[in-house]
Amino acid sequence: MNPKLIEDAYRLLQGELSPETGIIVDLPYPEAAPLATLLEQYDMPQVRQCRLLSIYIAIKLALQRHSECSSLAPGETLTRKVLDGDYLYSFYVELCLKWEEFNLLGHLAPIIKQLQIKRAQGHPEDERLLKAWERFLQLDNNRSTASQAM
Amino acid sequence: MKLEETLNIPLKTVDREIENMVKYDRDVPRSSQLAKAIIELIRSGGKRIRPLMVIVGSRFGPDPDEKKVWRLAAAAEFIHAASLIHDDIIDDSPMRRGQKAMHIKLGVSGALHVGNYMSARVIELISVYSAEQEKFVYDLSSLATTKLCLGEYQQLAHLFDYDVTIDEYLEKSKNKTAQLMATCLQIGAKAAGTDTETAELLYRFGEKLGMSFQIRDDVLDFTQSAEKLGKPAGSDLRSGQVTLPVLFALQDETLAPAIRAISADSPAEEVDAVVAAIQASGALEQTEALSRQYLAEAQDIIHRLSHYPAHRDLQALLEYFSGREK
Repeated sequence: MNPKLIEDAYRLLQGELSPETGIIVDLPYPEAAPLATLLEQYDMPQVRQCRLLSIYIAIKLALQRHSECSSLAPGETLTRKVLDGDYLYSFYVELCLKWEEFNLLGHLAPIIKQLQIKRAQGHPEDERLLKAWERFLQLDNNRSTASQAM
Repeated sequence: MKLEETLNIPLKTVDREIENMVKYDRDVPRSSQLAKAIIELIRSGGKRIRPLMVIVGSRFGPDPDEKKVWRLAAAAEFIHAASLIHDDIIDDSPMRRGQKAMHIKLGVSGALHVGNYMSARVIELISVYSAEQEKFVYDLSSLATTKLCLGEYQQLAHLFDYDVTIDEYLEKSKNKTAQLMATCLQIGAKAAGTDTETAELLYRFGEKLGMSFQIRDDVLDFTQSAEKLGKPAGSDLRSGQVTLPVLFALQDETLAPAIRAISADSPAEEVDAVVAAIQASGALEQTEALSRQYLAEAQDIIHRLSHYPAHRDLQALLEYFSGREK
């Protein structure tokens, strides 16, 4: 795995976030590594690899921030965690729109919803996220291979 | 007459459409706690201002896509309701619409993810059903709640900050409240094929109503009885929110030191005295005047749209927001 890709994606996401949020992209690197490894297996421009990874990190961060809320008492820390998660869930949509990753958004939207359902039921299945990305990358690759062959 | 009657929009139909958002979700069993919690929340009431605004907006277009308009109307309420669930967690409010708040019923984690589900469901529906890419991008970016969150961050950053400017306060209110209302009118209008200029005027109209609404809300925090508010008068100040009445009161040099002394640790009696002093000052009238100014600007926009029969619906909205519902 190329650590530079992860570093670049962290930097890209941090730069895109509004400074007013005060969000620090502090997801542990091993959390981002599986998708980084996966992305490197596909032939795509580096800039797109970096964008896709930063979208993934935004979603992972949203999941992380909200999973930390249940143990917190009311106060500023809880407020920030709730807001950070809310902002990031909305922000990943904005990033997909900004970078014209419409197919990705359509692919992820039901998955993100299903993650919330599982979490609301008290049986998180967050691992579905990486599987959904894996499937998206396969489909995306098939699409681009097919369009090149035409 | 009630607003929905004046607008001739049956609230039952609105509510059914909102309930369908969860009822027709194949990923959510109808008997699940999640479905029940959302249906219960919807049935607990609410004025449905935002869905009504979407539908009113659609009346300015030549070609309303009825199915889409109703879906967007329901989506707007889902977004609003999700934000209320999360607000109640943040504010640790025990009650919502006369019932236990969601986090009291389901715990913080349960409530948080019910709210997240509602927002995610909106994104899913818009992504799935919007065939035209341009509209899909517009709908999704309009209903994205990053601005709403920014308003909350701005509020948080200025707790007990008596040096916050009126412009900063207005910016926060725009993000937190007015933007979604403005979007509702515009998104409905665009779904009906309204021209850009009219859609833009409707956005500005909604923004002005939203600003007036938020400012009035800040006044009511000082003027309504504790019984009606369900919390003591001046609760915003007690929790560190420096709202417009406080900012105007701070311009009174004799009052300012006492206000600036209020902090998170201030005893209730000290805050009570400051709240009473603000109530007795001219600050509330100044605040009301600004609220009325926004409504007057909204009225000007109605005049510019008077060639549309639906301008009467804007008038009904304006009268409702100004508390002169007929």
